[in-house]
Amino acid sequence: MNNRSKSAFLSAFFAALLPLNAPAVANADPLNLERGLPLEVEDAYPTAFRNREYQAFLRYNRGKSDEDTLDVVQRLEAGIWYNTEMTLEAPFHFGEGAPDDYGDTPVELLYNFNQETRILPAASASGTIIAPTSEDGKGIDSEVEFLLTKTVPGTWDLHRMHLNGGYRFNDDRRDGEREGTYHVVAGYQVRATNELVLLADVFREEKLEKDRAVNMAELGARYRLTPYSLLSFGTGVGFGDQSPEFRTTGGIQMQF
Amino acid sequence: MSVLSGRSRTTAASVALLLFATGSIACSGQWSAAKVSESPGLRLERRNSVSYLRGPYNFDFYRRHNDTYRFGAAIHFAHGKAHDVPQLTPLDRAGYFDGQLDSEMVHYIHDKPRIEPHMEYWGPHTSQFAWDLYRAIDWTHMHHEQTYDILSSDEIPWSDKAEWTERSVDYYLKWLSIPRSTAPLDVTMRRAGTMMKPYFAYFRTYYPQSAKFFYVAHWWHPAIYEAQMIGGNDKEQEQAVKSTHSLTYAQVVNDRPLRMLLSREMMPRYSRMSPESANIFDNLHMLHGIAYSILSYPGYTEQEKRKELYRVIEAMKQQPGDKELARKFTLPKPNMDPRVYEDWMKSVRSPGLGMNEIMAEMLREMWPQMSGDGSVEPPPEVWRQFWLKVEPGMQDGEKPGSLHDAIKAVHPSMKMNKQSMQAGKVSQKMVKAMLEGWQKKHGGIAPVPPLPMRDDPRLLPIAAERVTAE
Repeated sequence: MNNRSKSAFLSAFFAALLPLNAPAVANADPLNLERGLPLEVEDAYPTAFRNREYQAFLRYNRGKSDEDTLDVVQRLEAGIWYNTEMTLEAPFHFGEGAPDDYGDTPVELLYNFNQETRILPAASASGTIIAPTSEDGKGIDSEVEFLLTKTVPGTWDLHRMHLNGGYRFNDDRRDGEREGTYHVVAGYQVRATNELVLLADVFREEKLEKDRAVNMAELGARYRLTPYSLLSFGTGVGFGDQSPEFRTTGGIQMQF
Repeated sequence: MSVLSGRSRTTAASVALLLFATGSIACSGQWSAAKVSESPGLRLERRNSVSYLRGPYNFDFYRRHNDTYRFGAAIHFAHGKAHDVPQLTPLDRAGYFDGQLDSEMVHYIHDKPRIEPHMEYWGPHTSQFAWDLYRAIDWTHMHHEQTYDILSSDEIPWSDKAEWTERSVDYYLKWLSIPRSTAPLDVTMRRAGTMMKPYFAYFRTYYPQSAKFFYVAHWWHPAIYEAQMIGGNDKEQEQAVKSTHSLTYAQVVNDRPLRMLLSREMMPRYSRMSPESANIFDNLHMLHGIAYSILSYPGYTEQEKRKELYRVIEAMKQQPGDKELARKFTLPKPNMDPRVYEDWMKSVRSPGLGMNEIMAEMLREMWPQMSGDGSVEPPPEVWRQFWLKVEPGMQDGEKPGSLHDAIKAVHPSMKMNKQSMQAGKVSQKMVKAMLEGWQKKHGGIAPVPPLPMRDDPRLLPIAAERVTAE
């Protein structure tokens, strides 16, 4: 299957799964952070059991050498059991520096162990299988990640801290690639109004190519548009030699 | 050096993922592992959130009556915030913070939020030590939304409304381990046995403005259902809802009810159509009041508050046999008009068996075991304190503290089992006496009859409806 047919097939697949005219039924939750919507940080709470959500974001990246790239990512997320969330992602990449291509396809299962207490944070673990659906994809990679979330106790305001750390196993390594890569994210979230949540994070992510890593600091916002949809917007700047200049993300989540 | 090859690592990761999923399904059942540890701050609970029931009616209330929906969102803001305020406020500053909380809640009903928040959003502190309280509340608010949506939906014929509501009740009872009971409040209040607890009536005594704000909210919720019931599916529903909702600002907020109104009083037609759903709401509204009093009480630690909250949540949840009791209540004003804010809605005493009359019955049932002098009926000074205490705020001649404190002050020989005053405990003897009392008085009453739903009702002019009500 070539790029064009692969993209067409996956777009049709997602379109078929998203009944845009279907009633939306669950409260879009501004607190439930998802990676990429709009920042890298994710919280430790899964979507509710029996919930279904369509997610999409558009990300513009400006590289160190002024190259422009665009990521278009669509996802389906579902609460498949109590405290358990499954996510299927379809990424597309466009722009300079690499051919336009459908990316590799991750399928993630996230499980939350507990509701946070006054002392203990909420903790989750996730496992992801990454299918090599891109043109130059090779081997089925896998990733494990641990996520922590803690609300600051003793205040009437909602301030939350998040910590994510993960490792990706490179299944079929090429010359010049690492055996695996890690990423670490620290994030902060605060309630601004009944509909608006503000976010900040800082992260480091190794790339598969040896000696390449990205460091970024980001700011973002999530806004509840309706009871069943949510908009998000974020922007970040890179720091360190190999990091991009900046990136900007706009996203939407719709429950159906 | 890598121990596993790339492919083996992927296989191992896949197996781990599978085990992880299987394990989660096996151990995340909401009924299991509710509490792993009892150590303060270290106790683990499952989050166990569940999403909404899908149906063709979803969000029709939001779409059809958006301004009214947003008032509901303001009420849910108030409910969330009213957990953390008494919990984080020393009792000697309650007066100041009561005024501040009330002002903020009134501000929100004038500058309304767009979307309904969950409890955690405005009450994050309490979510960290009593998560099940929020689960029980948010889940029942979900049922509120569902049932408003069903009545708002013009896709559902009037004759099918009861059936769709029943479907929503079944979903509500099925998927969460702690749904509110479908039995009348008369039964669940007796099961909870909170009246002689050291915190009882704390919120209404020390946060009177806020307590009365919630009495407005608990007038509003059933009044809007009843407006939908008299309006029917057609455009008359807009007229009835708008007319009822406008009373909130014109009259009710400025002249607030002095008691928590019950479904049987404020939405008699809805209560006949779905007594299960109506009772669920009464049981939720009572849980709100009890929870605020527990959180206001300075004599319990957070750990003890959680224990007591969870005991009450358990006692007032759905139990075997509750569905059979759902229709065991009477309607004081079966033809009332929600578009009229009448005097009987404002008073401490109800024309029928209202909230405070139910508690008066319970006091009478407990008294033979409490009285220090062998009397079988509470003496006049006890009744006086009872009626002063159930009214929000401190009245002339009222003794401070809980209802127990007030009665003890005028009847020092009153006997109380000290153990039953502790958090998480209840006197089973008292509960038994009250349930037997209810059975004797009300067990034999005829079930409230179902409401004929064949024809879309015709909205009568306000005056005509009122004459019928009399």
